[in-house]
Amino acid sequence: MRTRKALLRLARLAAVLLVVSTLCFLSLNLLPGDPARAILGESGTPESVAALQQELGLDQPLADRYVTWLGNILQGDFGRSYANRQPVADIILQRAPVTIELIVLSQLIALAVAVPLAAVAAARRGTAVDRGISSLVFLAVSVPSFVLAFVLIWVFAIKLGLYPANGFIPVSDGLGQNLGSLFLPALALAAGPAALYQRVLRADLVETYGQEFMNVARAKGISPLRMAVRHAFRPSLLGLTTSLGVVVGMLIGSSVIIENLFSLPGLGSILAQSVSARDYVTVQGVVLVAATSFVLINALVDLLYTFIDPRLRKPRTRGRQARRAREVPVA
Amino acid sequence: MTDGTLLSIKDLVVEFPTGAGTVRAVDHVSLELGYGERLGIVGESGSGKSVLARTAMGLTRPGTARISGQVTIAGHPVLELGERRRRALWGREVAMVFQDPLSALHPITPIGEQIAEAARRDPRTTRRQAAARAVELLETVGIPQATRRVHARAHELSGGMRQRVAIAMAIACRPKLLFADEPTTALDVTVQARILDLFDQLCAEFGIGLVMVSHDLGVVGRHTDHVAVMYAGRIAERGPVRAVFARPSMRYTSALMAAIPRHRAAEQSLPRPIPGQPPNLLAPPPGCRFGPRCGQASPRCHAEQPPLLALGDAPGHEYACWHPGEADR
Amino acid sequence: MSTAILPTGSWRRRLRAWRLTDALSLTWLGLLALAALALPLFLQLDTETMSATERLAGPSAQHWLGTDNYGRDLLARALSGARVSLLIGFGSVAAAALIGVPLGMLAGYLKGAVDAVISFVVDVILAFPGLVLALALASFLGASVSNVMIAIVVPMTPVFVRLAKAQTMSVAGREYVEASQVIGTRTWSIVVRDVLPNILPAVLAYALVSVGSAILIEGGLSFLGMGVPPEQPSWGSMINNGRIFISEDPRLVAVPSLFMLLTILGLNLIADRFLSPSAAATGGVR
Repeated sequence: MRTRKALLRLARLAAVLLVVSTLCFLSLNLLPGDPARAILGESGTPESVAALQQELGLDQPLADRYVTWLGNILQGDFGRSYANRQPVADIILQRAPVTIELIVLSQLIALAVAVPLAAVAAARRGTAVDRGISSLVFLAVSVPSFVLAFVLIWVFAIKLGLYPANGFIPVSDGLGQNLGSLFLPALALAAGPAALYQRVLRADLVETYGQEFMNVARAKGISPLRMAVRHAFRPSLLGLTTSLGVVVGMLIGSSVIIENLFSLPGLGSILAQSVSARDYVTVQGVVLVAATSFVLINALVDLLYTFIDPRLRKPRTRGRQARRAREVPVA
Repeated sequence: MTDGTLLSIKDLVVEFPTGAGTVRAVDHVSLELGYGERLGIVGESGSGKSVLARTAMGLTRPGTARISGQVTIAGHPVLELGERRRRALWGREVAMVFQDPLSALHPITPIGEQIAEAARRDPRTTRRQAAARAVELLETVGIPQATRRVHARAHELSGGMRQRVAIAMAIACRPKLLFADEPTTALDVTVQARILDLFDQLCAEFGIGLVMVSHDLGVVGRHTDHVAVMYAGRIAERGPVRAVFARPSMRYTSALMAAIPRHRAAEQSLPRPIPGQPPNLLAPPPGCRFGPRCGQASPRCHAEQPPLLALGDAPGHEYACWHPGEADR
Repeated sequence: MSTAILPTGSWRRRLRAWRLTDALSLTWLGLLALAALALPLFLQLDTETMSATERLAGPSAQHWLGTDNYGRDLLARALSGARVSLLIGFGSVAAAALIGVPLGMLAGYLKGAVDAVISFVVDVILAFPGLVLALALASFLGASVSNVMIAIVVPMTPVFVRLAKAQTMSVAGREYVEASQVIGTRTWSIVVRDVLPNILPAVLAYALVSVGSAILIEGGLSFLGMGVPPEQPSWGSMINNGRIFISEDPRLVAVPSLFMLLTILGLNLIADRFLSPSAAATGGVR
């Protein structure tokens, strides 16, 4: 029964990815009018249009083109960027590390801020401390990442001159420099997720603190710190895990803006550039990679549940907590 | 057994401020218990018996309730200690077994670790010793295949097993005093008797003093030495079990006894439920609080609160009633 | 895949507990709507007049919030941007809800094949990160207010589908709906009469949060130059325009940012009256 369920989910995952890739393919091939002309725009000479038509295989039937395209994608051939003739796969491989580093760094910051704040708020639930943290967090939820980015740039880069506002320094030039160049953008990206993590974790922690086993722990003479860390934390991680999936989607989106804003050579900024430059082959490749990673990460998050809470391995015992864990609307 | 008092409760009052007014859950209660003795506290739900037990152990948070009176456990003035110094007592001098073992056990941590954590409350115990002790304790409380079971989680065990685990956790450091708050209420009837037998066995074996809170006078009668009957936050009657059962003197006690199903053929009669509802603690009736439900209540009962009076048939048998007497069965 | 963000059954009680922040939020949103929608009827908002002498001028009697790098009035442009943002925000959310809720109710009520198809489409759309999909759509469709709305409606609709489906499933299981079935009421009329009123509070609450998200996406798209056409001032394009002046005159960025922030904050605060914390926290698409 469990294997069958797992296989069904796997099949569904594969089907979603197949349709996603098909949509990416169609988006380019169903551009109004002649795709080659649309890509080249006004500047296209008849020769270059003809060349592109051939490169895109526009002389062949749509179905044939799709099969060829899908075969190429599976072999890691995403076509060539029309802006600079580089293979799109190379562009992606070159830029993905920057985006991944930025996102990982921002999430480390977000968790480092959110987890203690959630723990303090939950332990002091209902007090002024809790309300103060909640208000701050509510503000953070509502601040657009790029607005926060400007505030950070203005304070840290312009007024204090502490961090560069622009550009990326690779790790080869020193880890400190590298992290310094990512600090402000990571901070801008961290605020929203940190707020979300804090809210979700605090709510779950408060629920856990209300459970009898926490009274039992106290009656055992366990210290509040040990109670928080050893008893309350793990049963309260389901919401946080779920929000991880939501956050990845948020981050992929806001990194487009933030990378553009801080001139970081990541996937987000190339997406924004390619969109402006009508470099649709690159757009297609980046969108496909972004969507695929997003789907796979969400599948991984689903798997994570069972490691966090062994009760979920038995479908029968899936309780309220398990259901609630999936409540957060994903977008 | 050692002479002297293990648990002493003097004039304890516990009040909870609520939006609608103040609820006095425990109203001037005094009790004493010697080392190795077993006391049963009996009452309907809402009689304040659980609040009494939790407050006596020091678990009721001062922020949520107004507490006055004195509680001494093995010489420690519990209510005068701060949370940190109370914590030093919890698990080591005094422990508690809770009502619902499923919610009382941690859902994720294996039971062995939970017991070992309790065992490590004794600072001399190493991690390794604590793990071994967990196995030993599981055997003590009668769980077979203990070496394998330490890795189990609460949801993988039956209700009775879970309560055995909770008991193992409570006695891990050999406390002098054990509170058991309705320890069998959440269990199947067939399992209840075995858990109660386990309490008997552990108290005898380790000389643990026991306070068992229950709504079931029958249970308390068979498994404790003393009994205190609570009604609406007050002690209605208390004394040695034998004496109280032989001469129930407060009308509520008689009514509770009439409500116990009997099995002996000679006494076969249907249990008689007590009419009416326990009083609303936001506005308790004046005089005797059982008055409105009592068949024998006189005008005096509705006007004056009866004090606890010694009956004289056995040391410590006291009752609070203006018209004591045999139950009208 | 449930999305049960029911307002815990006590939304009436929550409604009564208005706080100062709620009053402030309503006041801000009311004033903004009034200024953006009604003011142009009486008074021509001058968003375009440039002035060589009044570039980057500070606040004055004539220009309450000063001028931008072309000498255009910032307040007039911010209010004009409010019109675009509110139109896109409320418009796209209304469209997403009107498409998504019936589909979700259908899926939740009929289950089976209908549910399978709808849920699959939802999964496919949600496979794309919200802003990435909006950006790709906006770039393929071209810059216009209606295209931006389409770019926002597509990633937003699936969330309404999931929400309505989960709510419908929980409501449809209740006894009174089953009672209607027993006495032979037609399926669809059961859904409309019994289910819809029950899921409406949750949908409305979520819609409020989504308006904030939609405004955010519009801002992001305009910021990247993929939003509304440049002739129409919008908060995002104002920020984008002001970014190179951030060290000289942060006001150019601050004014539209503040308008956007206060608006989203106000919407979130009001939605928070109805929503469970976990749902409000996600703020939908970001």
